[in-house]
Amino acid sequence: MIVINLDVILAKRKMSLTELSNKVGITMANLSILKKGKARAIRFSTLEAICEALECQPSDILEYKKDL
Amino acid sequence: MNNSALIKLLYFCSKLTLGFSILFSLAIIPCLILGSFGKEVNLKVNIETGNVFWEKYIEIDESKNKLYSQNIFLETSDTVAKRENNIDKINLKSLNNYQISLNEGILSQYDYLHNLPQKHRILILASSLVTLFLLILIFYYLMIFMQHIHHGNYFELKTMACLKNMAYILIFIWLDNYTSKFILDKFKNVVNETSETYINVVIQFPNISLLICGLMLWLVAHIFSHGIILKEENKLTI
Repeated sequence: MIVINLDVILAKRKMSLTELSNKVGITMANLSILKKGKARAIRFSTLEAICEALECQPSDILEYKKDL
Repeated sequence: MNNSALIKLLYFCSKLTLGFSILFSLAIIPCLILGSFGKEVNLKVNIETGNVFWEKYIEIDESKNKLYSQNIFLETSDTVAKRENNIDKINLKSLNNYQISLNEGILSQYDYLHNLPQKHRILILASSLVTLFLLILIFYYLMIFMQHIHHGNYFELKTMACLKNMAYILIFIWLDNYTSKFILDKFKNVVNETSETYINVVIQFPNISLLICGLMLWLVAHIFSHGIILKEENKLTI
């Protein structure tokens, strides 16, 4: 399964979800869905915007873990 | 009348229909049960669909005095009203070589429930009970469906599930009607062991309108369900 490490990166960058929302231009509700891992898919444009705002790589946000 | 008022009216009508179907079932079930146990009740039963029996007698082998007939069933309901009691065959009029007549099958088409053989009565009772139950169930799902629409839940999986359930019930009602008709036909002794030999060419298709309705409803519900899934997926794509 794909795990979203958005909260980890946000903590590392000492940035709140509201700040990220303002920087990226994505609603808080959608960012919350992404953070909780409830999203079904993520657009390249969204990933690019998040990576740009957080100065990180996609691999820092997305991680593959084997299902137990 | 705007749309919301119409939907409100339809929702009310669906509730009313469910109530009436329950009342109707409660009224008819005791009569059906009494009739099936041989008690005299004013319940007439249509065993078959209304058919006119076109019959053409062709004398092929005079030496053996055998008569062959070609029978084609055509749908009607008016001619059945011209029925007379205890006559096997009524010739209504002649038209060249053709004779319009009612055969034994049609004569026994409309009869009182208590006059039928026990096997028929039991089968009709069972089939009617199943149909009544399904009728109530279909109106129940219609009411639930209208409730969802009334509350604005147009594109929801539970709304489409109601439609799908209605479709399954329609198909099941068709199956129930068809199988009971098929069994009743099997019970009937249509071959006459007389000197006359009949060649029957029967063109009689089962009424598939209910089946088509059910399948179309299922198809529409399935397409909408797929659309709803796509909508959900789109909604959860960030």
